[in-house]
Amino acid sequence: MCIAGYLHPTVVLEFRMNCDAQGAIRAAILKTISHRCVEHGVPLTNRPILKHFATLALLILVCSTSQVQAQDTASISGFVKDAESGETLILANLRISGSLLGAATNTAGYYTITGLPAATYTILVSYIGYQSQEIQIDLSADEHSRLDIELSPLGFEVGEIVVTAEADSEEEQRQLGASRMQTATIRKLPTILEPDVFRSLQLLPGVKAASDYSSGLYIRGGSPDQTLILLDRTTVYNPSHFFGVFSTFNPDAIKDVRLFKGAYPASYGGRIGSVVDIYNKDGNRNSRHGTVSLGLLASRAMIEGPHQWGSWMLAVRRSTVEPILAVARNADVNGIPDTFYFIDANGKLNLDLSQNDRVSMSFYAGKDVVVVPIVEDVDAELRYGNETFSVNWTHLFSDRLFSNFTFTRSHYFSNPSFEFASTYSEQDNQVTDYSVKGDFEFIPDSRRSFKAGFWGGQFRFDLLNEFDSVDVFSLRTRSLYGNGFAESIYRPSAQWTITTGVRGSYFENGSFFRVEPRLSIERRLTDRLFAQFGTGRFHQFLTLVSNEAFSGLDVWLTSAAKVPPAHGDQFVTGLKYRSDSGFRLEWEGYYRTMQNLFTLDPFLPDVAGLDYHEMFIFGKGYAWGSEVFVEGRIGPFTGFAGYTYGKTRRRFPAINEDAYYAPKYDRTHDLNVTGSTQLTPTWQLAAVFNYATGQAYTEPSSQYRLTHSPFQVPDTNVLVSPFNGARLPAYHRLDVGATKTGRLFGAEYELQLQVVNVYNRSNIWFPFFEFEDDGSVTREDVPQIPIPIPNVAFTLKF
Amino acid sequence: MKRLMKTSLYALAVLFVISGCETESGSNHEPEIVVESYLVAGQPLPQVWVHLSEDKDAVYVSNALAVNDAQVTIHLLDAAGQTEKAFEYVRALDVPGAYSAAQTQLVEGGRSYRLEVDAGPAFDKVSAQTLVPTLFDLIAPSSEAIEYKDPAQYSMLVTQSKFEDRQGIFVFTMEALKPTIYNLIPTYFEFIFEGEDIEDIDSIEWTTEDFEGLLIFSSQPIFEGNYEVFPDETLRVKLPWFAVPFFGPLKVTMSAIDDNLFDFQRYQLVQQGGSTLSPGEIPNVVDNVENGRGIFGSMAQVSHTVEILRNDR
Repeated sequence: MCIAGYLHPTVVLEFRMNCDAQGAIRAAILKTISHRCVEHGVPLTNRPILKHFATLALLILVCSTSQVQAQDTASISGFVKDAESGETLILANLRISGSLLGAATNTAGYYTITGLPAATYTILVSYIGYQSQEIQIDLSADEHSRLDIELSPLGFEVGEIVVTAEADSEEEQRQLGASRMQTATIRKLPTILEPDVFRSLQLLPGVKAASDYSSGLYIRGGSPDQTLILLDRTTVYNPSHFFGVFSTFNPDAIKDVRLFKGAYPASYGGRIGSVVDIYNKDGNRNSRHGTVSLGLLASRAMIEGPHQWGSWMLAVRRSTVEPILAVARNADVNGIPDTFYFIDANGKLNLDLSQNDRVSMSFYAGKDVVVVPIVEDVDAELRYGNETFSVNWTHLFSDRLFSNFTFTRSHYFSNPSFEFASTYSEQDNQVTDYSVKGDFEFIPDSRRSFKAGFWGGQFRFDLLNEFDSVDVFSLRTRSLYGNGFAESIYRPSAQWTITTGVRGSYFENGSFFRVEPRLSIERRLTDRLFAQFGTGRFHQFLTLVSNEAFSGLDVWLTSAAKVPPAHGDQFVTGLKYRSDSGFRLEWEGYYRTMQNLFTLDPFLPDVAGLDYHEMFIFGKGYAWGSEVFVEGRIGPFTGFAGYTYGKTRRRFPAINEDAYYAPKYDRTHDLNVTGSTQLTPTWQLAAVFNYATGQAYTEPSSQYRLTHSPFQVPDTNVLVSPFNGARLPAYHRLDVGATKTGRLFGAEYELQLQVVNVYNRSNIWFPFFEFEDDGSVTREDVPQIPIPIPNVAFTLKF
Repeated sequence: MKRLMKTSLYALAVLFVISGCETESGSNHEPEIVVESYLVAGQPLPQVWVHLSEDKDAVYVSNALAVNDAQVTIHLLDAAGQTEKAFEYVRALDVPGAYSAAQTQLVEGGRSYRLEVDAGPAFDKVSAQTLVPTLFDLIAPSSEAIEYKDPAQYSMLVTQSKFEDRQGIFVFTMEALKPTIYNLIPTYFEFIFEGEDIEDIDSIEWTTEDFEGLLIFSSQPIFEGNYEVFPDETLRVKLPWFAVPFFGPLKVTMSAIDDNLFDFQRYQLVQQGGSTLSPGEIPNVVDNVENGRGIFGSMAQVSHTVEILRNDR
C-alpha cells in the first residue's frame, strides 16, 4: 500500500521558494489548495483546518487529482523478491543513489519510481534481514523500465530480535502508528509454549494483553473487537485457539504482519481502533522446502515449492497435549477432557499468469474441540473455529497503475452444547462474510500518488439457542455492506508528505451511511528526524460479545435500526528519529474518543421476546497516551523497548452509576524490554521483560445479606463496591530463551529452550470474593502464570 | 549514537521509577441502611427487615446489625403517585430488625406501594417504590405425579401476568418437601458427594445442610417471550428435568416479578460472575432504594406440588 515517489532535487528547490518558506503546515496546505483551486475555479473557504478537515481532505484530493498530467520523464517499476524463495517482499525499500527519490514495495511486493530524467542511475535496494543491493540502470527519456529485483537473505543464523532494522529499509516503517513484526522475531521470542503472532505484538508500545491467558489485542485503550484482523485481505472474526490463549496464526505460514495502532489510512475501515494486516507466505518459487517443528503444546509442518506457473505453500499445526491429558486422567485428576485439541491449516497457491497478472488463492481453516464429562449425566462440548478463503488477482494496467482485486469468504462458527440430566441445550452461532474488494494505486509523478478502492459484501449472522429441545432464541441477520475510499499522498517538497483520504461506508442493516475523513501530515525536520500528525474519523458496525477469560463463545452482533454504529475520532502525533546505524527512537502521543459504543447488556439474564435494540446498552469512552519506542544495539546486544503511559475510560449507564471508570485492561504504565545476543556462532540468547501497572479491579468496601428471600436458601449475599476503584499489584515477568542452530543429517535445525516467568513472579489475574457461613468474606487471588514454565521446541528445515 | 540510546534507556528507567507502583486500595466502608421486604399480590402486607451494611472485612452478624428503632411505613399509592393509604409498621419484638404491619391488609396486584424507613438523624430517610404485578392463575398442571425424566415433562398452564409496559418476567422456585439423601437425584448426588461410594449410601453421615442450596432454589429471571402465548392469553410452561433435585414431593412456584426484583436479581447474578464483564469487575446491584440498599420488591405467584417418581433409568 506504500508505493511512493520521493521528490526530485530540482523540484525540491523550486518548491522551497514557493512554499517551504511559509514555515507552517497550515500555510503550506492552504496555499497549495488555494493555488490549485483558483486555477480550476473551485471556490475556497478559509476555514480552520482541524475543524473542517473533512472538507480539507476532499479538497486536497480533488485539487491534487485535477493536476495530474503526463510527465515527460522515465520510470522504473517491478517486484522485489527473495532470491532464494522468489517470495515477494512487502515494504522493501528502494532509493536512487544521491537523491531523495525512492519508493517502497506495496503489499504485493510491487514498486514504482517515477519522475526520472534520462540518465544512468544507481538504485539501492534494501530489506530487513537481506543483503542490500546496488543496481545500475540506464534510462532514456520517457522510458518505462520493468526491473524485478531479487535480494538474498542474510542467512538462517541471523535472527536478531528486531521489529525493524537498517535505516535504509525503513522509509515506510515510520508511518504514523504503524509497526511491523518479523516472523523470525516471533519465532525466536521466548513465549508461552507456542510462538504466537499476537503475543509478540503485545510487546509493542500501546498494545496490551488482558492477562497471561489472553492473546487478545487491547490497543490504545480499545477492546479487541475494535481491531480489524485481516489475513490475506480477509476478515478473521475469532483469531484464537484454546479459548483465547493463543492466536490462530501459524508463524510458519506467515510472511508479514503489519499493525496500524491508530489513525490508520483510508484504505482500511470497519473498526474504530486499529488494524492488523497479515499475509500468508506465497511459497518458494525456486525449489521445494519445508520445516517440521515439535513443541510441547503443538507441532507444526510446513512445505512449499514451485510449480509450472508459480508457487504453493501448505502449513499444518495441531496441538499435542493428549499425552499430558492421558497422564492426568490416569492419575484420577478431575475435569480432564475426553477430547481437547486444536488444529489449523494454511495454504496458498500462486499463479503467475503473465508479467502483469498474478493470481493467488489462499485459505485458512482451524478449529478447537473440547469435550468434558463433568459428572455422570452431565456433559459439555464446544467446537469453534474459523475458515477463510480468498482469491486475489493483481493486475498492472501500466507501470503507474497498479490494481488488486480480491474475493473473500470468512466463516466463524461456535457450537457449545451442554447436557444436564437429560436437559439438553445448544447454541449454534455462525458468521459468514462474503466480499469483493478492488484496490487501485496510481502514481502519476514523483509528487503524487493516489489510491482508491471499494469493498462490498454480505455479512450473515445466525444465532440459534436451543434449550430443553425447544428453540428459545433465534437471530438471523443478513446485511449488505459497501465501502469506497480515495486517498492522495502528496509530497509538495522533500520535507512534507500530506496524506488525505476519505472513506464512505454503507451498512444495510439500519441503512447507515457514514463518511470518514482521514488526514496525516509528515514533516522531515532533518535527514533522520520526522514530525508527524494524523487524525481521522472511524466507524464500526459490529460489536463483539465476548469474555476476556474465554473466547470460545464469541458472538458478533451488528448495528441496526435504533442501534447506530459506534464511531470515534483519533488524533495522533509523533516524532521519529533513526540513525545511520539503525538506532530508532520514536515517540507518539494519541487521543481518541469512542462514541455510541454498543454492547450486549451484560445484565440481561434472558433476551427472549425483546426487540433487537433492547438487547444493548450504549456508552462512550476515551483514551489518551504517550508511547516511546527504542530499538538498536548496545555492544553485543540488540533489541527494542517500548514504554506507554496511558489512560482509558469507559462510561455506560448500567455500570458504575453512569460515571467514567477504568476498564480492567487500563494500565497507566506499561514497559516491555526485549533483547538478544549471539553468544556463539550457533547459540543465541533472548529475553523479554514486562512491567505494567496493576490492572483495575473492584475491591468491595461493604457487604450485606438478605436473609428472607422467597427464592432461595441460604442468604442472598451482596457486595457494595466502587467499580474498578482499586489496582492489583504491579505486573512483571521475565522470560528467557536460548536457541541453538546447526545442521543435522544435512538439514538445518533449530533447538529452542525457553523458560517463561523465570523468577516465579506471582502476578494476580483477578481476586475472587466468597461469602462464608461465619459471616466473613474471604478473598482468593486467581493467579496468572503461577510458576516458571519451560518450553522445548525442535525445528528441522529441509 | 550509543550514548543517545543509553540516554533513552536511562530516561525510560527514570520514568519507571518516578511512576512508582500503584497498589491495592483499602476498604472505604460507610454503614448504610439495608431494607428487605417482598410484597406478594393477594397476600397480607409482608414484614420489613431493617439492618445496617457491614464492612467487607468484618464478620457479618445479622442480629448485631439490626436496626430496631426505625419508623417504617408502607404507602399505597394512587395513579398520580400520591399516598392513598399509609400502613404503619411496628417492631416484631421476637426478631431483631423486623417490623410488621400494624393492621392486616392484602397486597393489591397492579398497584404501586412505597416503603419509607426513618432510622434516625444519622441516616437520610430511605424509600423505595414497587409496582405489584397483576394476579394470574394456574389453570391446570399437567399431572399430580410424574416419573423422573418422562419425555412428556411436567408443565403448568397459566394465565398471562400483565405488567405495565413490558412482558412478564418469571422466576421459578423449586422447594423439595422431602429432602433426604435417599431422594437426591443421582446427578446432584454426584455433585455433592463426589468421590463417595453410591452403593454405600447408608454409611454417609448427612444433614440437610449438605444440600442446603437445593432445598429452595430458583431459576434466574425468565422472560415470557420464551413461551408461546395462546390466543386465550394462557401459556404453558415446562419444567426442565435438570431443575428437579429430589425425588418425592416438589413444590413448584411460578412468580411474576416486578422491576425491583428483576433488577436486583440480574445485577446480583453478575456479581457472582459469568457475564461478559472481565473477571474481577464487580458491579453494584441496582436495587432502586433511595438513600439505602436492599430490596423492596413485589410479585404475583402460583404454586403446585408435584410428586417426582423414581424411574428405572
